[in-house]
Amino acid sequence: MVEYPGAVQNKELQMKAPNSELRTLNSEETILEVKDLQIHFFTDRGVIRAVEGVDFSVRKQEVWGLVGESASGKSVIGQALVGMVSKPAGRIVSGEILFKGEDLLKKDSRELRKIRGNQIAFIPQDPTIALNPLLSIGFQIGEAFKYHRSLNMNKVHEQVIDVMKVVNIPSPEIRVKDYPHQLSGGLKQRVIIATALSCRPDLLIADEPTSALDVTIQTQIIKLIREIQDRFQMTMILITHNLGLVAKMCHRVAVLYCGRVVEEAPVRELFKDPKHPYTRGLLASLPKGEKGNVDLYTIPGQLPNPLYHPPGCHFSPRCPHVLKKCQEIPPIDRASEDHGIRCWRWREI
Amino acid sequence: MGILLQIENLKKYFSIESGFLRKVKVDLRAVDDVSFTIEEGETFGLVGESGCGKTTIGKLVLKLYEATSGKILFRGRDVTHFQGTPLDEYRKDIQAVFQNPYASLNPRMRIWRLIGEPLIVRGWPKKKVREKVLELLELVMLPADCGPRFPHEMSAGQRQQIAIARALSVNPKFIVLDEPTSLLDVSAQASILNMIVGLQKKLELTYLFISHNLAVIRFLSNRVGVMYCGKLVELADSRKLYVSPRHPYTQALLASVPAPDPDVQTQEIILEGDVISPINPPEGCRFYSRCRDRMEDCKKNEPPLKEIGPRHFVSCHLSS
Repeated sequence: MVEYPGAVQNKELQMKAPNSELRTLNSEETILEVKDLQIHFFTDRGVIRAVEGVDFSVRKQEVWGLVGESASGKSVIGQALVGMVSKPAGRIVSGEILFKGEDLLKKDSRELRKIRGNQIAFIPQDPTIALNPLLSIGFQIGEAFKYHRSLNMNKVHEQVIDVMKVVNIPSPEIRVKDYPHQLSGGLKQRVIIATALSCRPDLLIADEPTSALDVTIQTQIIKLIREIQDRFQMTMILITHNLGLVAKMCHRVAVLYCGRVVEEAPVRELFKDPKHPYTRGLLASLPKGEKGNVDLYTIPGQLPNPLYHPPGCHFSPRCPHVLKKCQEIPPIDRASEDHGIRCWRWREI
Repeated sequence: MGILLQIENLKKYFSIESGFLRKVKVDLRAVDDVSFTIEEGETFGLVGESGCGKTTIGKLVLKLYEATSGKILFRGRDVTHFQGTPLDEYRKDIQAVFQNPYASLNPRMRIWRLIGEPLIVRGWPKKKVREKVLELLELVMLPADCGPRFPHEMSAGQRQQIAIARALSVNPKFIVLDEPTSLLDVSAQASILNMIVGLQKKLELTYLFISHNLAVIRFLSNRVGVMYCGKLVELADSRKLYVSPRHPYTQALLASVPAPDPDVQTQEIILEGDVISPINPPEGCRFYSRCRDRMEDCKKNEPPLKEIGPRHFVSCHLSS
């Protein structure tokens, strides 16, 4: 058995783990459906195909994970969902983003503004960059509420204090007037979460919400996000490269490689029975166990240049099971209803 | 195995000016009274959160900082105040690989020059430098033809390979690895970690490995020291530390890493509050404000680092 640093090994130390039971979900209703999303960046050196035909759907109240290494396109997908793909270089070339049945890509910026921050909220990676240093945190938390719900300043103030309590910011009445530089990294991330929560969104997109934080602070924030998700029955998309976080938080996961989903599955199936060679390689290359004579598995080769993705299956040049057939793009094949694999050979390998 | 590096009561205070007209001087106690030894051929892991002083220790050992007080002994010789020629000699034995390969490689130099620079500085003839560089490229598994290329043509993982090759150019005995994989993707990280382990066996190197990533530290280290706010709070053999941590901070730190396996139960220890500032740290235990087992005694008396089992040191009143 593999041992992980955080695993309970010492009976003496064993404590109640409140959320440790595997997360199950009853809801079948789809809240977000993305079909054939393609996002390209038109640069001086050529076209970067950041997202090449991604399909997925997110069910109500679920935590849906999007994992991948850097340059896999995971953040760009998150940005596309809230209409924030950087212009003019980035363009959504084709696809549909159906949120509650309506295509977000067909809406103009004014209609989109009514949804963004109101029904869909976004938690960015680095709280230090995301907050405006010149405005008090109270103002920044209340901004979306003021825009979407009410101009009554008393109501706004009440709501701000309320969400600050939800995210456990100590003495909110005093802290409202603080400016970002007066807060620590963990508190800033709480402020960001409060901003996202101020209008009680139906869908929360979190892009690497804990990557910029220290580990002990990460634990606090992860716990907070889980509590909030449970309490408000929110749907959440978690974008991350941290597989441990995915195992702990998500119901279902999609693995992204070079702009394509290579495997999607319920979280347990993905970790216990990964089918795609890339997913297997990724899980095998995580450092585990102690110093010994065992080498870590390494995926051969390097990530391809984003300007020139290999033809066919993008993983084929690094894949140990490559065949001639892999020159063509494999379709998503289903092992079960929820478990899709984009590989020609997954049944044999 | 003999002792290669010995650190005794090492302190590094940074002076910070603040207040009206910047007249008030306060000390930031980055490293406060830390002692440990590193044996020949082992990997010593130093783990802690940002601001705990782990990188400062690395830089003190490399003599990039001057220690405020305390001693650094390398093979029994006091190197704390080395300067000039003896310092140059010392730096032949001790080299470093830094965290950010985008910052540590000069973008205007070609790869062969980057790797060969420590040799050029030491007056090696050009031809010999070239030969050695080719040898080093092979050692770190880079293609031999990448010599004339520039760092921007390489991926992050390859850049870190170049940094490792450069560190190895003077045949050091000891390498300080300061978060060498924290900016890399998982797949690139795996190959660098394998290389670090492989080189240690091949060249009989000793490492000081600094990281905040507990899984990486565990994979590499023989012994591990845990730092909190400038202090060493626990020191033990890697296996012992991960299986039965004794300091409440170590316990919380280990519990905070989510295992990449949905079936593994992790303890949930949530620490309140934030890391305290190393400027004017409180009397008594520095972990007092966040500790879940705190006692009256902890507030007043600072717990010393005590040996509670064979080669297992903890600074906590609970364990003594």
